[in-house]
Amino acid sequence: MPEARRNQAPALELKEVFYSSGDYLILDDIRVLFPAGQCSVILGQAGSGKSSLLKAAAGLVIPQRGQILVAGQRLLNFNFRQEQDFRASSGFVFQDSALWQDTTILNNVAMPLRVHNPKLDQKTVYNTVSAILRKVGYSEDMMLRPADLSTGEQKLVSIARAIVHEPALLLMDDPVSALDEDAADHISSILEELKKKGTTIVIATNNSELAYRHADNLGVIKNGRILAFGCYDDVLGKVEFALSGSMARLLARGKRSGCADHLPDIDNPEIMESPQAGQRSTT
Amino acid sequence: MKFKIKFADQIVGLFILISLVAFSGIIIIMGINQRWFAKNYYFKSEFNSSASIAPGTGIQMRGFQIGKIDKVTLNDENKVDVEFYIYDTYYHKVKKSSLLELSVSPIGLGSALLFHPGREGDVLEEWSFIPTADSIEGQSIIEQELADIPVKDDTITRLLSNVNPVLENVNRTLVAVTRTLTEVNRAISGQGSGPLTGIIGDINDATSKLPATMDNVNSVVDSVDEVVIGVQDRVAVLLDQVEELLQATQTTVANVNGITGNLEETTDALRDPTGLIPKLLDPQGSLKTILDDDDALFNRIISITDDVERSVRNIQQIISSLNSEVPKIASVLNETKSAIEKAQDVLEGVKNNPLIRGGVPERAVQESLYNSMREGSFDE
Amino acid sequence: MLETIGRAVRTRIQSLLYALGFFFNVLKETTRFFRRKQVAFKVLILQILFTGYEALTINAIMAVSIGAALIVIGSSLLPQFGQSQLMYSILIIVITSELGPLLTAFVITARSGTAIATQLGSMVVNHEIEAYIAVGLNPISYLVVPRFIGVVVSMLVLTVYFNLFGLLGSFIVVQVIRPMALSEYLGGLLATLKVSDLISGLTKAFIFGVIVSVVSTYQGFSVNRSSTEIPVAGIRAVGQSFMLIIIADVIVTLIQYA
Repeated sequence: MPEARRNQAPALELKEVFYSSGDYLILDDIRVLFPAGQCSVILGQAGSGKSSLLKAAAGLVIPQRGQILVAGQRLLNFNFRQEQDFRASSGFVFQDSALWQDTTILNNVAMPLRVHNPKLDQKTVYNTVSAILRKVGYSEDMMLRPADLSTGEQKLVSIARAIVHEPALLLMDDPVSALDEDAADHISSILEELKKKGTTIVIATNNSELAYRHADNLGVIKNGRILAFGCYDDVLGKVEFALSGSMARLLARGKRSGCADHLPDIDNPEIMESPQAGQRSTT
Repeated sequence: MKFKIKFADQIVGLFILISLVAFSGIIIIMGINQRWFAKNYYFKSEFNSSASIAPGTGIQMRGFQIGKIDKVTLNDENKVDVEFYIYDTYYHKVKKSSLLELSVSPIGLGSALLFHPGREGDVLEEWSFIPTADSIEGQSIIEQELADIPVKDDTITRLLSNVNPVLENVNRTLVAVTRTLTEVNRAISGQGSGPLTGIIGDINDATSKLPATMDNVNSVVDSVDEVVIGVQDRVAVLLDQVEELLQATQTTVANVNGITGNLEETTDALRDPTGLIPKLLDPQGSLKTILDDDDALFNRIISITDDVERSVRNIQQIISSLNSEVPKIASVLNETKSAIEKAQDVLEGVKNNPLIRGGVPERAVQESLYNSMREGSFDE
Repeated sequence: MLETIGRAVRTRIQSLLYALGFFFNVLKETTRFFRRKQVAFKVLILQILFTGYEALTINAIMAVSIGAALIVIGSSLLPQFGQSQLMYSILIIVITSELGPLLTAFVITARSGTAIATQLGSMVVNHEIEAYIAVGLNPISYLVVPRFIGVVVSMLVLTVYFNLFGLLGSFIVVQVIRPMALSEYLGGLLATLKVSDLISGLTKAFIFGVIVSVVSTYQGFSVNRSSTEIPVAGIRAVGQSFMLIIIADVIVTLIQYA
C-alpha cells in the first residue's frame, strides 16, 4: 500500500449516533470507527439499518443525536469549503443507483468531475468518463439516459460515478445487488485496485462473498445496533451464532489469515447470547 | 426538441434580449412622451387655498398641458405658496402680465388650472412671480386686458350664443335708424324723394322692437343666473363678458332712444316749411344749425358705430374659440357678424357724411365712452 | 381534543417555520449563485427555456385576445359616454398592472409549477437529491436556485411580452375589424401609461415568480419516499401557488392605490 495515499484517506467514525424517522428508531447508538485505508464491510439483513448507517456516515441523513467524524473532524459542522473538500474526496454508491434521470449517462458520471474540477475541459472529462465506464464493465452508449438501461447497468454506472473522481473514501450501499456474477467479479477487481490505492472503503451488504473477499474489518448490524465490529477474524471468532444467512456462510468459510491490527472491541454482550436476546423493539 | 436543447443558450438569450429591448424602448418612448429629459422652468405663485392644486396638477393653456404644480406650501401669512414649472417648449409664452386661474367646472367635472400668457413684454425669468386671476394684481391685469384670456367654452358659450338674437335685433334697429338718418340727410340736402311719413314709420317700427329686445336681454340674464347659482366663481368672468355685451346693447338702445328724440325734433323742424326754406337759404343757420345741436347727433352715431364695432369684435372672439367645438353656433354667429358689419359700413357712411360732421375729435369721444363702459361692467 | 388542536397548531407553526427557513435558504443561495460560476447555469438556461420561452405562445394568444377584446369594446362603447380616453386606462390597468402578471403567473404555475414539484418529488423518491448531496452539489443551490431564478426571470420577461402582445399585438389584430390610426392609439396609450403601472406590473410578476418557484420546489421536496406522494405534491403546489398569488396580488394593488 502506498503510504502517501494511505495518509490521505480519512478514517470515518460514528459516535453515539441515533437516527429515527417519524416514530421509528432506525439507528440506535451507533459507535463505530472505520479505519483509514481499509475496507470495512457491514453485514446486515434488509431493514437492519445498514443503508441508514451508510447515509448517516456520509452526512446524507442528519442523525438526531451523535457525531460523525471524518479524519477527526465533525462532518455535521463542516462549512461550505470543508464540505466541498469532503465530497470531492468521497464517493457514494446508492443501493438503487439513484442516477439522475433527466440527463445522459455521460453527464451522470461526469458530474463529480465537473463539480470538483470545473476547469477540466470537455475532452478530458469525456475521456475520463469513458475510461471509467469501460473499467466497470459498462459497454452501452454514453448518450443513453438512465431509464434506457437495465438495473444492473444502472448499478455499474452509479459505481462509475462514485469512483470517477478517485475518492479517498468510498461508501457503497449494496454494490453487487442486481449485478450478475460477471459484473460482480468486475466490481471485485475494482475494489481490489482501490484497496491497493489505500482508499477507505465502507460497504454495507448482505453478500458473504464480497465480505469474504474484501473485508479487512467486519461489522454486524441488526435492528439499528452494531452487534459486533472489528477485524475480520476477530469478529468471526467472537460471533458464535449465525445472525443471518450471510453470516452463516462466512462462518462456514472460516477465518482467513489473521488480523493486521486489532480494533478496539465493541463491548456488546448480545452477540454472545441467543439471537432472540438481540431482538429489540423498534416501534 | 433536440434543436431547442442544443440552442437553448441562444434561444433563451434572444428571448430575454428582445424583452429587455422592448422594455427599455417603452421606457424611453414614455420618457420622451412624458418629458422626463426636458428642462422645466420654475415659477412661483400664491393661492388662497390649496384645494384642487395638489402637486402634479397640470397647468393648461387652451387645452394643452404646458406645465405642472411642483410644490404647495402654507406660508406665514396663511396664503398658499405654489411652485410650478412650465415645459421648455412653452417657456417663451410666459411673458410679463401672465396669469394663473383656477377654473372649476360648473357641472362638477373637476377643475383645471389655466395659464393665461401676457399679451406682450419680455419672457419672464425663472422663479418669477405669476399672480392668480383673483388676486389684486391679477384683477388689474385682467382689467387692462394685458393677459390673453380666451373665451370659455361649452355651457357658457351656449349662453353667449343666446346673445346672438339680441344683437341681431339691436342691429336691425341700428340699420333702421341709419336708414332714417340717411333719408333725413338726403331730404335736408334736397335729394330726398321718399315720403317723410314713411321714414317716421320706419322709426316707429324700429323703436317698437326695442321692448322685445329688452325682453330677450332679460331672459338671457335670467338663464345665465340659473346656471350661475352655485358656481359663481367659474362663471364670473364669462358673466362679465355676457353683461358687457348686454351693457353695450342697453347703451345702444338708450342711444337709439336719443336718436329717435332728435329725429322727432328734426322731423318737426322739417314739417315747418316756413322754418325750413329760410334756413336752407340762409348759409349761416341752415342745415348746420339744425344739426349742430352741440354735436349730439354726431356723438350718438359715433357711439353706435363704436358699439357695433365692439359687438363684432366680441363675436369674432367667440367664433374663433367656438369654431373647433360647436361649428353650428359659430356659423350662426358668423352670419350675425357679417350682418352687423354691413350695418357698421352704413353707419360709417353716416358718420362720414360731411353734412353732419361737426369737426369733433372723434377719438376722444370713443375713448371716454369705452372706459366708462368697462368700469360699469366690473361694478356689477 | 385540546391535545389534537395543540399538536395541529404546533405542526402548523413548525412547518411554516420550516417553509420560511427554506425560503431564506433559497434567498441566501441565490445571492451566492451569481458569485459562483456553477454547473447550475445550464439548469437555469433550460429552466428559462421551458418556463419562459415555451410558455410564450399561450401567453401571446391570451394577451392578444384580451387586448383585442378590450380595444374593440372600448372603441365602440366608451365614445357613447364621451369617455373614449378611458379605453387606454382600462387597457393599461388590465394588461399592464392587473391581469397581465396574474394570467402569466397562472400559466406558469399550471405549466412549470406542477412540472417542478413533480420532477423534484420524483427525484426525492429516486434518491437523486441525495446523490446530488453526495457529489457535493447543494440541492438548494443546484436544483432550487436555478428554478427560482428561472421562474422569476421568465415571469418578468413573459410579463413584458404580455404587455407587448396585449397592447401592440392586439392593436394589429383589431386593424382587421376596426381600423384605427396607430399614432392616435400610441399617443393615447403613452399619455396614459405611467411608470407606476409598469412598476406595479413588474413587481407583481417578480413576487408571483418568487411564490410559484418557492412553493413548487418546496412541495417537490416535501415528498418523502413514496411515488404516490408525487402527484399530491403537484396538486398542492398549484393550489398553494394560486392562493398565495391572489393574496399577493390584492396586497400589491392595495399598496399601489392606498
